[in-house]
Amino acid sequence: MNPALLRLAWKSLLNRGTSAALTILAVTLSVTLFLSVERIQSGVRTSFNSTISGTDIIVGARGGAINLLLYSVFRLGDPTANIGWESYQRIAGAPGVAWAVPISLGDSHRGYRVVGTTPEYFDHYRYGRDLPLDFAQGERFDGSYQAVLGSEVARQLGYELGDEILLSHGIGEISFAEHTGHDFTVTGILAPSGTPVDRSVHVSLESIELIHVGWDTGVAPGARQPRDDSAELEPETITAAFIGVQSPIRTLSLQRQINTFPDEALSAVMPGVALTQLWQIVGAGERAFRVISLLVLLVGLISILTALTSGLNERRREMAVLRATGAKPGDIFSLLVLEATSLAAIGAVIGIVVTQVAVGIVASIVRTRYGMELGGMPGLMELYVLFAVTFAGAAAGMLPAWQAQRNALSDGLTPKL
Amino acid sequence: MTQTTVKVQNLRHTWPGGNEVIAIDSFALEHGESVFLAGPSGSGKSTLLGLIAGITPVQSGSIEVLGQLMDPVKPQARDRLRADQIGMIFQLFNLVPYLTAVDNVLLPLTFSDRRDQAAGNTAAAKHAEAKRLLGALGLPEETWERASSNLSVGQQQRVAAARALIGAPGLIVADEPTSALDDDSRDDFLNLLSGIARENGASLLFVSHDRSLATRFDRFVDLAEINHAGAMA
Repeated sequence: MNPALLRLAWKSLLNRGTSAALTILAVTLSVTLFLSVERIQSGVRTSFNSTISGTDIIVGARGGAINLLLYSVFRLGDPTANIGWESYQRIAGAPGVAWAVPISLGDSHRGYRVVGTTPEYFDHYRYGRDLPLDFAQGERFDGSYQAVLGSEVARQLGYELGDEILLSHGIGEISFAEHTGHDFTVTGILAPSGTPVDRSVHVSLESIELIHVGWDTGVAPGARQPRDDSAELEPETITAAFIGVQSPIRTLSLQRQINTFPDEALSAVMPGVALTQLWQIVGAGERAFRVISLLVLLVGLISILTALTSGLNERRREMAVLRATGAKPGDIFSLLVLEATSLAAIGAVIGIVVTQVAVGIVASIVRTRYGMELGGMPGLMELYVLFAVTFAGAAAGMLPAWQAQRNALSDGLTPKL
Repeated sequence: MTQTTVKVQNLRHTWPGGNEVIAIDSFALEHGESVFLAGPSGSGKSTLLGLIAGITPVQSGSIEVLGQLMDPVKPQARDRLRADQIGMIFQLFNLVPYLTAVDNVLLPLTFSDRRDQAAGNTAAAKHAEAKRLLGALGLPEETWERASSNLSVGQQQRVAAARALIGAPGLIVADEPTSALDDDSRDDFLNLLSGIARENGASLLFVSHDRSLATRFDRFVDLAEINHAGAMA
């Protein structure tokens, strides 16, 4: 192909500046949308897959793996049943178990789930690439009536260290059964992790037992019942437990042991496996998003076709002049394909730059607020998009190019205008 | 040794679904010769020029340009012969609007290696040649780098002439190039065009309905006389 044609195509585009700029804008916007969706999706996927790490097994009452994962890690939905404290202790003491952290769910604070657990929770709960939970302020609870707030809880409700909060029985946003008389003091606020921990209130298992003294019948005890700190604090049941093994090769056999536990119907799931299963469900929405952004990309490319086709009639004279000065019909074809390709490539490059700048601006906000990574430098994805859009632009240019070539052949030296 | 620039023999042409528009038994344009071809509208003038330029394929008979046959079946060969050997000037709208005067003059060089070589091959030499021609045709220097859409009609015709002449093609075909010009600039334009064509050793085929111009050319040919297509009908 003739390199001079590229210069010609450029000058032709510059001459039709407004129309070319609008077409480039359409391509730029569609590429920006597509790449932003991709960035957010991969951020969401990564953040989702790294919700929990370092935990080898989650134990709960007999039930589905996804359900267990949902209520124990994502704090969504309700457990089917509890597990007995004795069973928990036997599992925690089983050979090969490195550590075990119990959790007890069922209470809430203004819509945020309360997690009763042990201080070791803050040692062993890991997310992402084995990242520990960091304290933004304060420290973990070391006794009763102390609470550690997730970052979102503190931010949304405006809590600071030393504030006193009340827990509610049950998990609704508006509760009619407050654990009155049991004020908790905020002793710690966690840094954002992008995990459901951000939306949790953590207290000790003992506290959970304390506030439920007298609730045996399921209704609130008589008002102003004095606090009885001497009650038996060992829980009878817990909701689930996170288990770490000493060696990864023990995971499967431990899982089998738990699943066939003789005294109680238990389930043991590996978080990684359950996360993958869950993503296959959640990911359907992701695919829908991608289809939509691909369609927008298609609209951007069609705008190239529109812009070139609409200009063809007024350019017949120009094509005849080019033919008269020696241009082959193929040169006319190449000229228009090059114009389309340039529009697409410029739009794609600007779109990539715009996305990059936008990501640079919001990345730190998204990271601190949602603990989600939007990715750094442009990578293979951007390269693919650049090539794909450029080639698609060339393809889109072929229709008007073919038309222009046909016109040029039928017009000869004197187009009828 | 001189060579016939254009040799037309037994040329017949009929547009689809129409009557015969061209029936020329013999017509020749010799090397370095300038010919005034008088052609009123409807005389088959546009068809003949399309055939000579190789835009329209020859149906019957033959056209040779500088000894090469305008190939009736290979459009690429005709495109190449036109690019190499023919400079064309039209009545109006000669220029590519988004190119400067100089870039318009340089345009044929991008489609013909032969003319590219002849014009100097290097970018600097080609630009110098384009400017020499524009200067020789009396185009003011401040307009050379101006977008051609900003030039007056008279200036545009001069740019078109420079473009037809660059790279020394053997044949200049001018189709009513002066009909949009006023009398003074027409005379000016004609003198310069024929003068530079003669200097370059190019043959000039000048087509016009305005017979008052005919005296400036080596030879006068009336298309109505050599083309007996209409007469037969």
